[in-house]
Amino acid sequence: MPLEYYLILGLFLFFIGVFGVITRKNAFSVFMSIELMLNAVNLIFAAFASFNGIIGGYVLVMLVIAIAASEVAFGLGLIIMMQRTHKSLDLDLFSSLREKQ
Amino acid sequence: MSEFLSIGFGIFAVLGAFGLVLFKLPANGAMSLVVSLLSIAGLFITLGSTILFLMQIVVYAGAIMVLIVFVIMFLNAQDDALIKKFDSSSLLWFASLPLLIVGIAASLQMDLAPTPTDLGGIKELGIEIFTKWIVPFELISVLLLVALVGVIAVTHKDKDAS
Repeated sequence: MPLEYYLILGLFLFFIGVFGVITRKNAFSVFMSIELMLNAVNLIFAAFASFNGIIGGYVLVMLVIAIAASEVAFGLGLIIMMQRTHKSLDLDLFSSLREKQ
Repeated sequence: MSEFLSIGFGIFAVLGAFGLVLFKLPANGAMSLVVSLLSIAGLFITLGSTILFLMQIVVYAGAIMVLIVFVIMFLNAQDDALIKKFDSSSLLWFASLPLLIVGIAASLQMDLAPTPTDLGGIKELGIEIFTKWIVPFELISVLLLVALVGVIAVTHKDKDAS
C-alpha cells in the first residue's frame, strides 16, 4: 500500500480520538480516546520510518509506547482519586480551574 | 495479499475507533479499543516491523488495556456513562475538521519512496537504540520510575493526616 494510505488512516484515527475527547463526558472514555490518538501518531511514525528506511522512527514509537504506559498508570490513579473524592466520573464536575464553584 | 491485509486491518481499526467513541458503556468502548489496537499491530506487520507488532500486542493490548479494564470493573463505571448532549464545545471538533482536510491534501501531495523497507527486526532496533538513542532510552526509564513513585504518592492515603 502507498504511504498516503497509512497517513490518511492515521489522520482519521486521530480525529476520531479528538471527537471522543471533546464529546464524551465519562473520564474513562476520554482517557481511552487519548490512547487512540497516541496510537494514530504511532502509526504515522512507523509509516514514515518504513517508507524512508530510517529506523529511528521505530525507536520513537517504542518511546511513545513507554510514555503511554506511564501516562496510563498515573491517569488511572487520578481517576481512582476522582471517584474517591467526588463519587463520580463525570468530567463536567471537575471544572474548578475554569469557573467558580 | 499485503494490500488485502492493509485494507482489512485499516477497516477494523476505524471500526474499533468508532465503537470506542459511540458505545455508551466504557467497558464496551474498552473492548472496541482492543480491536483497534490489535488492528494497528497488524498494520505494523504490513509496514515490515515485527518488533513493533510484538510490543503493541504485549504492552498495549496486554498490559495497558488489562489495567484499564481492571479499573473500569473495579470502579463499576456504569451510572454516568452517557454521551454528552451536543453542545457548544462540540463545535470545537467541527472547527478542527479543516485541519483534517488540509492533512489529507498534504499527505496526497507527499512524494516519497514508494515501497516499504524491511528493517524493523529486533536486532536492527536494538543496535539503533543502544548507539544513537541511549540518552532518550535512559530518560524514559527515569520517567517510568518517576511515574511509579508519583502514582503511589498521589493515591496513597496518609494515615497521620486523617
